[in-house]
Amino acid sequence: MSDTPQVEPVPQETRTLTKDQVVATPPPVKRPKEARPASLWGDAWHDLRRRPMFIVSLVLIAILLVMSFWPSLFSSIDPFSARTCELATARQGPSPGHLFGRDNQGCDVYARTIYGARNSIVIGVTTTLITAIVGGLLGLMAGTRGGVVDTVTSRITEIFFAIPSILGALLITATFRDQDLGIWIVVIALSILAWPMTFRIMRAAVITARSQDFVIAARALGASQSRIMFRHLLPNALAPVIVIATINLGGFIAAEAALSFLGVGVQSPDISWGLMIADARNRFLEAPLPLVFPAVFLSITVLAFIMMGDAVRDALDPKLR
Amino acid sequence: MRKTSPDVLPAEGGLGNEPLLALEDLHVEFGTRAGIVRAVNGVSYTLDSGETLAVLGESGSGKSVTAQAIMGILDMPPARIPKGEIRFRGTDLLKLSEEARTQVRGQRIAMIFQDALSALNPVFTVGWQISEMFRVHRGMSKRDGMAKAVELMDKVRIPAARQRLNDYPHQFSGGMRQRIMIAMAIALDPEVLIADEPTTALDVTVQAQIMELLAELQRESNMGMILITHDLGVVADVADKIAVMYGGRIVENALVHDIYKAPAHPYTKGLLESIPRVDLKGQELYAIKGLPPNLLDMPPGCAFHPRCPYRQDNCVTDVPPLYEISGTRNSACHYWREVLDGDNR
Amino acid sequence: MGRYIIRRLIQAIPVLLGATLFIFAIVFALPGDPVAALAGEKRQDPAIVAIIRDQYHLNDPLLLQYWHYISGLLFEGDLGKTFAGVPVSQLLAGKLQVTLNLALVALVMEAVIGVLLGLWAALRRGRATDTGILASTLLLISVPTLVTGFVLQLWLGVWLKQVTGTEIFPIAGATQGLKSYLLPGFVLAGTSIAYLTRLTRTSLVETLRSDYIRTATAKGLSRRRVIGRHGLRNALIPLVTYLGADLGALMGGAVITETIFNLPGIGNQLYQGVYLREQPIVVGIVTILVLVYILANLIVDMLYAVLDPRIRYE
Repeated sequence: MSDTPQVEPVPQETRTLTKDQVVATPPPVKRPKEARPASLWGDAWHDLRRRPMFIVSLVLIAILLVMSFWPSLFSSIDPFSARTCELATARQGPSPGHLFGRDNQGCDVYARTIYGARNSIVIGVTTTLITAIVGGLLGLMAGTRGGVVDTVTSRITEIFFAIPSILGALLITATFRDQDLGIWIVVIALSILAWPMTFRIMRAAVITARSQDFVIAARALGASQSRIMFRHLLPNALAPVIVIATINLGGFIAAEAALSFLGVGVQSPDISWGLMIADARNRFLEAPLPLVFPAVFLSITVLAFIMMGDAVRDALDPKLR
Repeated sequence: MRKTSPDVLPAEGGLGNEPLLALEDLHVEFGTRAGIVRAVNGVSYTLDSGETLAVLGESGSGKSVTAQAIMGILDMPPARIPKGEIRFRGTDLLKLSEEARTQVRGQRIAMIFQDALSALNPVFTVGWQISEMFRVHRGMSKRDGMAKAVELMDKVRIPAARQRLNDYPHQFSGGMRQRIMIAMAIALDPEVLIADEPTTALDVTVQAQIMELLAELQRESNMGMILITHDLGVVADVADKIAVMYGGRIVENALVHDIYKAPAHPYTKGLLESIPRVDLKGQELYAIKGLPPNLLDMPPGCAFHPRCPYRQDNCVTDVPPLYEISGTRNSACHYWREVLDGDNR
Repeated sequence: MGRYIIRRLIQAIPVLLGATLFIFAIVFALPGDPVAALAGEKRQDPAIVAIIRDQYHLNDPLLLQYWHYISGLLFEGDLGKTFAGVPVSQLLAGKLQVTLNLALVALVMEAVIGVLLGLWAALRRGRATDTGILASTLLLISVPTLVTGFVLQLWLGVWLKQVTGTEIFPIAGATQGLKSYLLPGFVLAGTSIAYLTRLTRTSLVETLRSDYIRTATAKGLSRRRVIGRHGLRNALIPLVTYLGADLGALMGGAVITETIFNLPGIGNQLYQGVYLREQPIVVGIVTILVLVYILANLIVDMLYAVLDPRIRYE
C-alpha cells in the first residue's frame, strides 16, 4: 500500500551536512512525546520489561538457578545421604517434614526434587551454550563465505536432520556409557544432534544480512572478511539465534529427562527428574506423588524457558503482533 | 462500525440529479500505538457517469485511503470513519449493512490496484480469477465463466487469450498482469472504476498503453472513473477534473485544463513545476522543499505552510477553508490570488 | 515435474549415506562384544565364535563393514540378519506397523486439531479466544511427553474407567485396534499440535494481510469465501511442509510414548537392541527412520509443487 499513514516519526531532511552543522542545528522536526530508544536491543528491552510473561519467566528462572546452586537453602534433608531414606516408609504420603511424601526407596521426594534441579539446569545451559557457539560460528562462516564451505556444511547438517534426535541421543549415550562421563555424556549427545538447528538459523540470518546495503557498502570500502563477519553480520544475525537458543534450552531439559527416563541419561546415585519419574513409574497407579512432583517441576522449568524465548522473540520480531 | 438503516441498494439509474458518487466531508483515522493518525480530514468531491476524476497527491496524502473507504476495504479497526458520507447514486454507503456493501463491491464499484503481481492470487489461474466474478455474482457455470473470461481478456487485448487462460499470474509480464486486473475489475460492468496508481509499477511505454486502454474502456461503458496517482504527467490526457490532496485534505480542485494553465495552490504549482519538460532541458528541475507532513503531528494552520514559498503569518495559525474561485474550482490557500496570478517566488 | 523429483532423489542419496554411516560408526563403537552378549552366560566354542564373527564381517574395518551393509541395502533391499539368524526386515515388519500406526494417528490429530485451533485463533486475533489458545499452546509445548503421558494415562485411562465403568482409552498394548492408539497418539502429537496451531495462526494472519486478499474483498466476495478460498489455499502451503517433515519426527520420537504405553513398536525394539548390542537391529531401525524422513520430505516437495504454481514452473 502506498498510502499507509506514516506512524514512525518522519526522518529529518537528509542532506549532506557537515558534522558541525548537525551538532549546531537542533532538529526542527518535533518527535512524538514518548521518545523510544533507537536500537533493536534497546527497543526490545524496553518492550520486554512490560511483558508479564517475561517477568514471570525471569522470576521462575532466577528461583531455579538459586535452587540448583544452593539446594540446601530449600531443603534441610540431604538426599545423597543414605541415612535419610528408610525403606520401611516407602511410598508414604505427605507428612510433616516430608511435604511431598516418600518414594519407592523411602527417600524424601521433596529433597530429591529440589536437588534434581541442578542437573537439569547444568545440562540445559551447557548444551545451549555449546550448540549456540558451535552452530552459530559454523553458520556464520558458511553464510559469510558461501561456496564450497557452505555447500559442505549444509549437506552435513542435512544428515543430522534426518536422524531422529531422541534415538540418536539414545545411541550415543549408550555407546559411551562405559566411559564414566557422568552427566556430560548427555550434554555431548544432545550437542552433537542439536547444533545443526542453530547452524541453519544463523546461516539464514547471515545470508539475509549479507545482501543489505550497509554490508555491501562495507565490502566495497575494502573491509576485511573477518571484520565484515564479526562487526557487521554477526550483530545483525544474533537476534534469531538468541531466540532459538532460549527456546531450545527448555527442549534440552525435556530431552535430558527423557533420556534419563530411558535409563541412558543421568545415572543413579545422581538425581534427575527424568530418573525420578522412571523410578516411580512402576508403582505410579498406586502412589502417583513421587512421579507427579518431579513431573511438575520439570514442566515448570521447561515452561519458564519457553515462555522467556517466546517473549524475547515477540520483542525482537514485532512483525507478528 | 455504523449501524444499519434500511438496506436499500442504490437504484441502477440513480435518483434525479444526484451525482453518481459524492463524498461529503469524509474523515478517516487510524488508531495506532503511537496515537491517532488522521489520514483523511474532510474530503468532498463528486463524480458523474462518463467522467474521470484524477486524485493527485504524495504518498501519505490520504488519496488511497479515501479510495479504500469508498470500496469499504479498510481494516476496521484500526481504521475508523468518524464523520462523513459516501453517497453512491444518492445512498450513503457507510450506512449500509456489510451484506449490502458486498453487493456493491466489485459489481457496481470496482477497483484496480497498483502492483498487479501481489494483487492477483498467486495460486489460482488468471482464468479462474476472472471467471470467479461470474460464478459468484452471476451464478454461472465454470465453463460459461471461463468463456466470459476469454472475452474479457480479448477486450483488454491480451494476445492468445484462450491459450493463456490457465496460466498463473507470475507467468505474465507486468503490463499483461495489469490488463488482467483491469479485465477482472470491468467484468460486471461497474458504474464506478477506481484505479489506484494503475501504472506506477510499469515501464513508461507500457504506462501509456494501459492509460489508453482505461480511457477507451471508459468511453465505451460510460462509467465514472477515479484515477489516483502521484504523477501529473499521467493525468493530462485522461482526466476531466483534478483534486489535489495534501495531508488528508483537498487543497485544490479544478477542471484539468484550468489547472495546467494556472494552478491556484502553491502545492499544485510546485507539482507542476517539478515535471521534467523538454523545452526546459538543461535547467535545474524544481523540487518542493521539505517532506510531507507527519500525520501524527500535523503542523498547525495550513498543513503546507512549512514548505510554502507564499507563507504569511496567518498561514501558521489559520486553517484555510476551501475558497471558491469559480463554479468548478476551489483552492485551500489564503493567498490563492497571488498564486493564480503567477507571482513567482 | 519428473526432473524435479529426480533431482530431489539424487540430493537425498548423500543424506541417506551420511546418516547411515554415522549410525554405523556409533554402533561399531558400542562397548562389548555382541557375539559374547548373544551367548549369554554359556561359554562358547571359539571356533563357532570365529565363524559368526566372520559371517557378520565383524573382523573387517568399519568402512568395509559399512560397505557390506549399504551395498546389501541399496542393491538387494536387504537389512541384514540378527545374530540369531532372523532377517531384520522380518523382525521389524510388525513393530514398524505399530509405530507407523501410532505416528499416523498422531499426525491426523495434529493436522485436524492444530489447523482448527490455529484458524480459530487467527480469526479472533487479539481477543480472548486467541490469547487463550496461544496460552494453551505454550503449555502443550512446555509439558514434556513424559509428563503428559503419565498424566493422561492416569486421568483418561484409569480414572475415567473407574468413573464410567468402561475402558474408553486403553492404557497399554496395541491389541484393541485404533482405540489403543488414541491416547498414546494424542500424547505423541501434543507438542506438534501446539506448533502447528501457532504456525497456522501466523500463516493465516500473514496471508490475510496480502494484497490479493484485499483484491478478493474488492471483488465483492463474502468474507467466508475470501478467507476460506483465497486465504486458506495460500496459508496451507507452509503447513503441508511442516506436517510432512513431522511424520519422521513423530516416528523417531515415539520411543517415549511406546515405553509409557507399552506399545511393541520400533522405538521399544531399538531400546532393546542397544542393550543387547544387536548392531543389525539398531542400524536397521535408524535406516528405516532415515528413509521415512527422506520419503516424507520428497512427498512434501511434490505437494509443494502442486500447491504453489510458482515452484512448479521454475
